[in-house]
Amino acid sequence: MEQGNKNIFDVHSLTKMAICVALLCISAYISFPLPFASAMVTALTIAMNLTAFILTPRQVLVVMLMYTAIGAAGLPVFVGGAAGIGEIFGPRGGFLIAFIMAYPLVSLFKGRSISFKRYSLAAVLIGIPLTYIGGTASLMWFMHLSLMQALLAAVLPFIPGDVIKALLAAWLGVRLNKFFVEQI
Amino acid sequence: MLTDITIGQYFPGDSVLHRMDPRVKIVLLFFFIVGIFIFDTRGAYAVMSVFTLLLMLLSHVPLRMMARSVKPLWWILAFTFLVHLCSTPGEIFARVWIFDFTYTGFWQGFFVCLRLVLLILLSSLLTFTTSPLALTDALESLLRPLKRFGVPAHELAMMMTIALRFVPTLIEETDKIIKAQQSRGSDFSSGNLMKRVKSLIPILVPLFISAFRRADELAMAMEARCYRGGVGRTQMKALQIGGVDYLALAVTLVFAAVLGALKVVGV
Repeated sequence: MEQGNKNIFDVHSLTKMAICVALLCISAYISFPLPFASAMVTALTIAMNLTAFILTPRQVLVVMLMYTAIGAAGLPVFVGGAAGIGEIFGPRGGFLIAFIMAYPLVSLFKGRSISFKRYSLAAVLIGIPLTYIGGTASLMWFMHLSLMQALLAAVLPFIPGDVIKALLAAWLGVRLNKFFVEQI
Repeated sequence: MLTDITIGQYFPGDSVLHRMDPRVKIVLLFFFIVGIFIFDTRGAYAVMSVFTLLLMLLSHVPLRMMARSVKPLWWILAFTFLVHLCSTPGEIFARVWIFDFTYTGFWQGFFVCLRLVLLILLSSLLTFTTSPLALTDALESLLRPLKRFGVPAHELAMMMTIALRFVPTLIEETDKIIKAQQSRGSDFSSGNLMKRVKSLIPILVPLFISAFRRADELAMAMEARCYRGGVGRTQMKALQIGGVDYLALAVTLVFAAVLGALKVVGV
């Protein structure tokens, strides 16, 4: 999968990135709210982690920007079927902006070898904290909440689930990458 | 759950909003959204609510469909309203257990929620009245000036079109995979959180593998048809700015002037 450094927009990587965007759009719908919290449990982060493990960092950046742009243009592809530029300049917008920064970094730190340890470390130590920082900041700013209120609403109830999901994604990423190496 | 997905909830029609140029719609929507954040007085909110309502009626999109676009957010709305209601200091009008409900809190919560609802309604109006293809064409056209700075406008628009085209295909695929695994005895709808997360594995692995295989096949098909990127490519339906768009621009300017006046007067 490490071929796209010369031109990341050649036909093969173009279709690959497009398919990843479509996968993100679908996985955003596999989500449900937790009581007393204003963020949601979602399969989106699994798909984002997998995208980060399979593609190169630059490709991941393009995929994340494209996903956000589609949502901002008004197509209901954000978590729970939300959409619109308003969503980015809204209380949950911090998550979206954090995603754009976090997952290319996860992809950068996953290393060249296929290893469960590297993958899970990248997802747990880079992906999760960056997402939380962005989400908390935007909740505090737009909903005028205090740090503690925002943490209660968007971070603390989600930590166990997010760690489980990150580990699952790392495990899946190893399996998928091994499969792709064997195939090609 | 997956069948709820109505990506590009386009509602075909022939209203004024449908006939507008998608590029103009996107740009005007952007200004409205900026406006919602700049003009934050009660009078301005009243004017904007009425205006949004008029646009909704003008689009001939059934109001029930518009309401459905707000539904996914009712939880966050209720939560926000309650937080504001009982944690803002001010004149107390009711007291439940340890929570004090204040008038200031009530209005603050109300306006924060109203703002969100307006944002959602306005942006879903865009997709209700614009087909996904027109939308990607418009984005490509709007991105074209950025080409000088190395932004690959055509490639991005192409990616977007492919992605939107493949969403229904992949949903169908997911459905098939779920059924295939169920027929082999997988159980997706019971057990605790851990068990349910685990049950995603037999869906996600085949889904990703088949999706990437599709991407490869598509790339091969495009190469076989001599796809060479956007250079020298023509469009069957070229976008054109017409009378309706100038009218919309004029209405927006008047609207902005009214909001500006309200802000100056301080209503």
